[in-house]
Amino acid sequence: MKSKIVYLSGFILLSLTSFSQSISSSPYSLYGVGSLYDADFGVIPSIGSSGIALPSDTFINNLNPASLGYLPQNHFMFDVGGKAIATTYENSSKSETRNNFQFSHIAFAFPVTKNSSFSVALKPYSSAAFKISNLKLPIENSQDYYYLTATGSGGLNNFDFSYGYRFGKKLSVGASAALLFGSTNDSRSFLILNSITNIQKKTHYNGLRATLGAQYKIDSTFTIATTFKMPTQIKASKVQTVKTVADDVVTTVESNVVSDTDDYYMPLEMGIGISKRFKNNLNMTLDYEKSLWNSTNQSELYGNFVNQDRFALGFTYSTKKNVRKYWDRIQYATGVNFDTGYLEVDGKRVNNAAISFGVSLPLENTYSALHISYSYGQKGTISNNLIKENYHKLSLNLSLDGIWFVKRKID
Amino acid sequence: MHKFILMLFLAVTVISCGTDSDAGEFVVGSDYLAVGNKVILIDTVTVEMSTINFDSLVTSSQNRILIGNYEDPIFGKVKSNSYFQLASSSYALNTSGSDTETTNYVFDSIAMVLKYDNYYYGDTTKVQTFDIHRLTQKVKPNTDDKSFYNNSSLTYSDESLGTISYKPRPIEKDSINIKMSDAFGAALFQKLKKREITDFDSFNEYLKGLVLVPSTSNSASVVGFHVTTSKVRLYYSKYQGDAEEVPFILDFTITDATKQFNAISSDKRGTILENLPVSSSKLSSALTNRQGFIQSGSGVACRIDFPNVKQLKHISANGAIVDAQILLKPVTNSFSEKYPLADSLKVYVGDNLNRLSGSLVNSAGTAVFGILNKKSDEFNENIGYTIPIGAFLQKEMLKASDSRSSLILTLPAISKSVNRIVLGDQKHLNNKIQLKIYYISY
Repeated sequence: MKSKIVYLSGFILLSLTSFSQSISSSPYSLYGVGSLYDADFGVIPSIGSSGIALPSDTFINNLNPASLGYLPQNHFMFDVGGKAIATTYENSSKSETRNNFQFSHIAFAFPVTKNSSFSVALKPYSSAAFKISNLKLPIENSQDYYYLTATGSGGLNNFDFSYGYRFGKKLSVGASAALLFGSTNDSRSFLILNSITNIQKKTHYNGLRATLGAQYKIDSTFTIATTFKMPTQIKASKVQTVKTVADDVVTTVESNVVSDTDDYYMPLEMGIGISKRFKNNLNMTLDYEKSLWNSTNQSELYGNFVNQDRFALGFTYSTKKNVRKYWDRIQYATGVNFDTGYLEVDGKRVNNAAISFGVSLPLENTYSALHISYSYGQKGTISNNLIKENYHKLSLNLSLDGIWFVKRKID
Repeated sequence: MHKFILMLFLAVTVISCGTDSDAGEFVVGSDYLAVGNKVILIDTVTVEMSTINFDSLVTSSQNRILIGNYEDPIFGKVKSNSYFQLASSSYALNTSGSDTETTNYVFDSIAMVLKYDNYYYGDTTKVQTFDIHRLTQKVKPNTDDKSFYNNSSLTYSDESLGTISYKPRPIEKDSINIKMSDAFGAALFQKLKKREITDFDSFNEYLKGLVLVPSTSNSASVVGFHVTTSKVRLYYSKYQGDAEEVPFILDFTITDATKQFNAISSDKRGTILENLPVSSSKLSSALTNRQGFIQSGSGVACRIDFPNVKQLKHISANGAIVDAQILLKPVTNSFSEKYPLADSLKVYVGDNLNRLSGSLVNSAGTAVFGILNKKSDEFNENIGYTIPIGAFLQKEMLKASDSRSSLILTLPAISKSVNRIVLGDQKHLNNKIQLKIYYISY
């Protein structure tokens, strides 16, 4: 137990050091508050990010706070994850492959009473990292052009507090409050005629978002569930410095001027999901989620947002023949995910489709497991100057389970 | 097992710093990029054009003998006389021999050699004629200052000491040779031989200077000659009875550039510029067929005003003017091979009374010029002079006082050439001036 705590603190420290840096640099990060991370816990990345109806009995289910009603008593759960992603960016003329490694999440959950639990999770929400080199753009009202070079960095983080309560054997409800905070940096250089104008903007965001969830067990093998993520306003304010350089002379137009900027709006998102177990060793999860971005009336500063549909389907399988044999305790999983995307660029939706496979390797004799997941996906399309991203993603989630408040009988 | 996992995560966390860098070649949504910061061209700001006339230009010490005249279809008659004082390194005949030998020296001839400096303007296929006259007053400025001007003049005798009619070949040939009067040469030779001229003072007293005066009857071009290498050469020889004569020379050159100037006159009667006002005033392009004029030598310059420059402040409330340029277009048919366009325009900043405060400078304080864009198309539509005026407009816009500066355009060699140019104003039919102001919102 003592060594476990040492390890845990080690994880937390290391994770936090790499937490603040946003390392994904998708061209689509230009929009909104950046491109969103999928930071799912436990086995969820392996099953196509489905699982609204799964209980938090062997790992922390981040998709539905109601799942916390099923956290085993006296258990303390910890989940930490990281990803390695190889992305090929492709447009009509060329392609380029870039690798990156990212921290995914760190989370704790512990029971409060016999039938309720609380969890705390910290994960990156979005990455606003992008880069544009010498892009030729038309000057309004003329035949002339200017050249833009830009870099973006930073992103938002999500600090999430969830609570789930179970009524009897069948119904569980939960709520979570997500604190979204962070800042994005945007540095742009405009080469206009013979002058260079540099605009450096740091935008700070903060806001709170509530999620409500419920799970209902129809029978011991079949669960239905729903979640409602509430619409919210993420307050934004910016600090901006504008400089122009002409004939190697720098003129500061404005320096660190603080001003309000258009707030970012998050929509009402409604999800429904089912979980069905067959023959005691095959489990299917199916989710559908609708995000009503249209009604957020997002500022054009963030791009053109449209209603989003997400479908996720996953299967887990374990032989469960002999719980004493290690190989029989390994769980296999697969899933698919399709997402229409919430962004419309030049009249085209940026959709995303992925297929995933995974294994869960149990550790010791508890619910602890190492979840390894591989997924392949495509985002965007090659048309109208859009870019297609093909990615191979390897996720490692470590779910640790500790038994609390029970004295070991044999040491 | 835990240790292994710990190591694994440690590795991932450490590697995360080594993410591949992004070259920035993949960009989506170029329309969206213009949402936050709009880059706009403003080309509707009023530009006024007028023509002014400088009082006088300093034409001494310009290192060019400018001679000729021509009748310009637009600017009228242009004429340049060149005045100069001569001197020599020695005022003695060849002194290698004994005094007794001096008596054997005889005068042969005298001639003026003028070296082309490659400058010419007008039609050099036509014969140019000019005469050499002797000055009757010393080459000394009238006023207290040390300079001569384009409107300075000195008295000279009517008698021609030499004349030449030739077709100028300023590029192909090296020089021209003008035979001068034998009487003049012999008299000078005798003065030297008799030791009546022994130094510069006695020489200058005898020959105060020369002036080259073009004939107004048949010249069609103006040509430039080198000051330092042009000379008057006296040829003499030693008489040795039956033996062959030994030739000698004595050169007189312009050793003091301040004692050489060109009197450039312009007769604008009957032209569109007939009523050019005094130097502190201006002639609006509205009165000269929507054109502005520049002529070197005679001091005609083009003035550009921005009457609404202060209003630019209002549009820059949420943005900044980052750069600006003005494109001046020469009027079609006002230039040709005979009347070529200069490669650049010199740009000064002046006040309302045409007093110059200095050259137009960029943000770094370096002088900027109007540069000719030579990319010609079928209709010469893109030919023009581009002047960067971003720094100038920003300064004018933010200036606290009500006074406005104007730009005054001349040609680079204003004091030693006669090139000219005709520019269209903002309302000119085909050769409109274009002001481009680049603005960015933030």
